[in-house]
Amino acid sequence: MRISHVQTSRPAFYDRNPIGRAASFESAAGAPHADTARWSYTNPAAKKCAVSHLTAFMQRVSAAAPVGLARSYITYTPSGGAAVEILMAEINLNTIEPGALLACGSQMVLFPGDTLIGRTADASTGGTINYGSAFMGVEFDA
Amino acid sequence: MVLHLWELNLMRSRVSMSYSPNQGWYVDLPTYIMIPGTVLPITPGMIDADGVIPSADPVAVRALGPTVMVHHPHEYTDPRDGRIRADKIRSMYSNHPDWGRRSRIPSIGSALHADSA
Repeated sequence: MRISHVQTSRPAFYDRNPIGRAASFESAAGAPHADTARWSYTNPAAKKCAVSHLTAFMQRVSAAAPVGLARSYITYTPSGGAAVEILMAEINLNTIEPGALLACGSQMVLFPGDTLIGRTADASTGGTINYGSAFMGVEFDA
Repeated sequence: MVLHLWELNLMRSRVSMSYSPNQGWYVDLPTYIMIPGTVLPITPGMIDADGVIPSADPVAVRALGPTVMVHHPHEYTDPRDGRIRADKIRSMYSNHPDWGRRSRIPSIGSALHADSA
């Protein structure tokens, strides 16, 4: 009797019906606004997503009166769970030009139903800010 | 390896904006991208093209019926008229605790196909 172990190989994730996914929001000289979800990505059923890039950016263009906290941030919500902030760029200065840029190369994997959301908010009165946030990844068969 | 890259969200619709205290202003769709500068109706002191003024009362703003243009996946839409169908969203997120529920209807206003519930 010969006993042998049969190991079934499976293609790498980038060979399992891959689709490139991306979402981004850029606004030039945006006015103050309440917390707003600018983009959302929810991983579909039977799929996973290897997220390779997350970016959050902001830069004051004109002064506010008075200044308030302004932020561009990304939240992650696991399926059935609560949202947590995983990347944020925020400023509370009234000085023109200094920017808060945060770019992060990510290794995270999204499972079915997981959600990434890019949000912006500016509690100032007057003034304008350049905003940006983005994600990029590869969606594949789970 | 064959990797197809294209921009997520190949369709564009004007949809209602929703609000909750813990989420702020958002669009009630699983996946979307807001198009900058398209929020309506522009109302001095309440709604700007970039969004809702921070000091505006959310209840008063909701009474104005704010809408925004968004890109969303073409898989959400009816190929005959391009309107979003709730049943197509449910099938994409069938095991999701929220979007997979049979009773889940997106609050997106007239962009929703009337007989897709």
